[in-house]
Amino acid sequence: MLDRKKIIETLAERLKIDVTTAESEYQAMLDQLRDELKTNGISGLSGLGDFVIFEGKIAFVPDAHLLRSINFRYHGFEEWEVATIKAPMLQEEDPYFDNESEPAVYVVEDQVQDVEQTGIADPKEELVPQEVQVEEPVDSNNKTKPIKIRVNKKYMERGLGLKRVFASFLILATLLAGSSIAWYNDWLAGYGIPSFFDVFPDYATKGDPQSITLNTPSIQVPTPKVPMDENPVDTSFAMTPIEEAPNSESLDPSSPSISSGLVGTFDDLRRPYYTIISGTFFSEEGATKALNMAQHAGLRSRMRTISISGDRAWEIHIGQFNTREEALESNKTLPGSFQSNIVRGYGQQ
Amino acid sequence: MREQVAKEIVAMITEELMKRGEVHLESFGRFKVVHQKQRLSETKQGAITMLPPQDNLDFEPES
Repeated sequence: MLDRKKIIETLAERLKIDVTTAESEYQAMLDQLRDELKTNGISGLSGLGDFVIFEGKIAFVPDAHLLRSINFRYHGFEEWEVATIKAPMLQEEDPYFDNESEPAVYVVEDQVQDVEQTGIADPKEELVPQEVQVEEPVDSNNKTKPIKIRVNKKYMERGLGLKRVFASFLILATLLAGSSIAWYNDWLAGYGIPSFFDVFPDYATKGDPQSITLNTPSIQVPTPKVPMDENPVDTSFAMTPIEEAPNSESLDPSSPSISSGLVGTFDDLRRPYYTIISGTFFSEEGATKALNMAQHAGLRSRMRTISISGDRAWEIHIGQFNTREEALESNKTLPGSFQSNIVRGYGQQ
Repeated sequence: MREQVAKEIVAMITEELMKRGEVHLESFGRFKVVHQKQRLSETKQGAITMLPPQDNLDFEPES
């Protein structure tokens, strides 16, 4: 026990002063504390705590540092919360309960302050009610019976719910994507436009990167009667010829005039001209099919190889015109699948 | 000097309490450390929590 005598002796020894001086200093400190307590109602020592007058008696409010010091054996005691049990569930019948499985045992050891899990070899056992054995962390003389608590870890496992939510989200996203594609195809069919995969059924499975301009509804334009191939690519793009077209004079494919626009020959390729870039493809096969369709529709078209960011690509050019305005005007008369606002000039100075 | 004395006295009291001893401060009271065992505590929601063991400081004022 640390009393006045021992305090004075230790104080004299540590500060290397005589006992009388130490006693006077100690007494002066006590007097100062007492005076402050009477005057202010509170007095304290830094690192120890505060003395306060409460209901006519002296009360002591310990310093947090002092409490941590005397609890040095139990630092990190937050980790001692080894079991959180929802008591009403202990008596409920659990469909996941397996009587045949051996319960795992949790052992909390003294001083180590750590929870050791033993007997859990299979993660599937997380759904099985576990048995928790908690030992009293006191000295060896005090023999306390361990507390056995049954814990249903199914309710302690929260990751399971997140997995279910994620799986549901994936299924919902898949259904929405499928319905959107079906709606878009129906919308195209409502305007008489076949869907992309109807036009190019081979690409539905090949997955080659490609692009084609498919936009506004189709407009009938005057087209020459071109003999059908034995195996036409797609009859859905067959054009209905108009008997009296404004540019009927250019329906003759042999016409060398560049002003023929959409139809004609390429004899005058050396001359500057404008053309409509109907589509760009990253596969030659797709571009060839589009070219065949355009030619089958009676349009003067050609395929040109270009380079996009170092990758090879193929463009479908339709018609050749003297001016850009003429090309843009003729673009409006193209079938919707071939229309494009991209006009490029070749051979200009 | 006065601050050094107070600092040494506080250090002595802390060391004695860490050794689970008693400290008598004249005209104020007695300090001693009491051990509190771990125990189960139930919340209002029905959750039972194992409270950890801890040592508390007990102060008996002088009458």
